[in-house]
Amino acid sequence: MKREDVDVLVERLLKEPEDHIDDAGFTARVVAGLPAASLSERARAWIIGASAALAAVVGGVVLPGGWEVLDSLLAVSRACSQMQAPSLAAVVVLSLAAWGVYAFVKAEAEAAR
Amino acid sequence: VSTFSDEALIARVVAHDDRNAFAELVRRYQSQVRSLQRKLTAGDAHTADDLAQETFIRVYRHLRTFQGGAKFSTWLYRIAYNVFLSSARQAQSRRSEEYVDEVHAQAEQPHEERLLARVDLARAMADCSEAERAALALCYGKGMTHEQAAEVLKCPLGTVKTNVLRGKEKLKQRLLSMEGVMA
Repeated sequence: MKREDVDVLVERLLKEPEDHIDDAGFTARVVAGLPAASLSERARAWIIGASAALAAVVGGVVLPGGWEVLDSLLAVSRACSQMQAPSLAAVVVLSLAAWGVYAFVKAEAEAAR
Repeated sequence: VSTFSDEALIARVVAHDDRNAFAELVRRYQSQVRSLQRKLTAGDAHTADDLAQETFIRVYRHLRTFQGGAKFSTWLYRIAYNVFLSSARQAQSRRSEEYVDEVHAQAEQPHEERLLARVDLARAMADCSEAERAALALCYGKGMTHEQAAEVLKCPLGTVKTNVLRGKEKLKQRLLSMEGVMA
């Protein structure tokens, strides 16, 4: 075969329209392989927010220092100058609550878009 | 949902996790994605279908990030190519006799010489590098311009042009060496 013939043949073969591939159950296999239905963003936001609020309430009651932190926060809000040193556990719990609120607001905003 | 536009289907999947809408998207594009993967895998139909399935699952997971301004098919092909590259890094793609059988089965009233040459073309693609196969598959198989292919492949325009030229040259060499088959 001449070189020119091969040039023409390659061009022709490459440019040939592709055959349609029959689905033959392909779509069904893809759908079956999809990850399990996830919670909607809105439901996730509520769960995160509620969990964080619950953790904050439980932590505030159970963990030592929780009430002190709340008292301190109230004191700060009343512009009192002296604040009692909070325990690390109480700080963690309240940080968790703050994070939960932030995540909730962010997820709600995304869901609303 | 079969009458919905791509954009409407995507919106339903994102907003309501509508799997019927996603299935419709798969039905619309399965042939294009599977044929692209077959070219990228040099005719390995079984691997190509696995990669096509993985492509659509990845599309489902990341559909939320799809920017409406871009063409959906361009975004889809880019994911398909990325899936292929990930797979190619893990295992050498291998040629499959299945594709040869399928070409024989699917061709309607084939002209023998044309069919044999086509089978050889699929095999000859194995001589090309992954980048060359991708450039050829997109520019010829999908009818994309070099610029569009560069966008999908995330590489410079010059690289696409070079890969197309090199790929074609390798195909020609391969077909010349198979003279006996096509004679």
